Amino acid sequence: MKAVRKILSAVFVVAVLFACAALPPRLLAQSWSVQVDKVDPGDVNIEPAFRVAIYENLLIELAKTKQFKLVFRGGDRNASGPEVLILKTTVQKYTPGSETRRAITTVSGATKLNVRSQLCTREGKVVLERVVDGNVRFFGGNLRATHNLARNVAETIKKSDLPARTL
Amino acid sequence: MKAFTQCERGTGVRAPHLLIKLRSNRPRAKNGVRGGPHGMAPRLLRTCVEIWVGPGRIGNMIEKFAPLERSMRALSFLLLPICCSTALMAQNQGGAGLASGSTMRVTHVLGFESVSNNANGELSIKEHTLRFQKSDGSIAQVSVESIQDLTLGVQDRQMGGTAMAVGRAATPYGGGRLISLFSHKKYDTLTVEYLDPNGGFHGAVFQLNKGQGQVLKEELVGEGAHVTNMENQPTKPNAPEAKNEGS
Repeated sequence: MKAVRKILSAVFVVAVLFACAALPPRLLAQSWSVQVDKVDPGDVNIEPAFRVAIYENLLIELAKTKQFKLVFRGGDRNASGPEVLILKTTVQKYTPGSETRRAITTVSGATKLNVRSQLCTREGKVVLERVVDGNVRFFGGNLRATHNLARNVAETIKKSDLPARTL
Repeated sequence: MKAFTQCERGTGVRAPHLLIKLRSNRPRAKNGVRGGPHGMAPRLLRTCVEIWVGPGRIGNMIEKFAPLERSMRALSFLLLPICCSTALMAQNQGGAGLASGSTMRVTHVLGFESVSNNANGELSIKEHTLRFQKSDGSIAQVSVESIQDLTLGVQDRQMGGTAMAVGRAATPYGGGRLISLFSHKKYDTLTVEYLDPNGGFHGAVFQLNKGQGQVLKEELVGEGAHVTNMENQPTKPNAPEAKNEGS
């Protein structure tokens, strides 16, 4: 009877270890929180409405992914502690489009955005770095490009394996 | 060709561009025009011809309709969206004059907390707060002192929203493109950057009728809002297709 109990407890421990190893990266990443910094226009002459729209859409899309425990705004005093990653976004390319031109010609007038997204720790160590695009080619207003861009950034982060947080 | 000769017969009126085709199994009307309740277009045309050559002179002038019928059908397809777009344009005329005092009818594009995107409402400045009141009565507001920057821009947008876009897409013979050419309007966009009580950065974008943006910006500056770049005119969007690349 004792031998059976020992075997069962050993099997249980092994099962728990396997379960931990097979834990999806999403759950591991949920140990992190993220703070979204203001969008850096870099050397690109981007309209302020686009800059703000990228920032606000990033907050919405990152919260939707449920990848992070908390999503903070830039400058939020509550975003302190080592578990907070900082998302920095720098605009690299911006092609302003025209909704009317899209509606008339279909092939021209696309609004295109290209940004570099970096997830950094408080100490400045870059955890993740990606270049992401966001365009609007057919339907919708020009600001829709910012929504598409934010969704692409969130998806990219979701697909990436973030390192487990050291406690 | 046959229709042509029949047009000329007995009337002395040449109307080569009016080739009217009527179905032969229809009963002939008293005045010789094949009629009957088979569509508005022939009747309308007959009335037009009557006005043109005078009543009673038509006789058996109009006998045949040619490919005009198909064009008329296409035109009738186009008529509805064109009417809709005209009505929309008429509704939007004189929007800049809506600014009465400090209350303006605006569209909240995004960013204002607890307000859904693309919500219509009234933006006002009352007791040092910028207040957005939705059509259903719910209010969101932010203190003017917390505003960090205000920027104006111009956006050229198609009117009518999704319903109109579907209508344009469904219009045959590329008519939707023609409608798009005339159903766009320029709007002012006001970007408000402000901080919440926790120090968190917020940005909100409002869409206003042309000319209202500057008025609102000046009122907010007068109330004490911070502005980093005080320009008199809204910043125009860059030339389409002109790439801006950072180094």
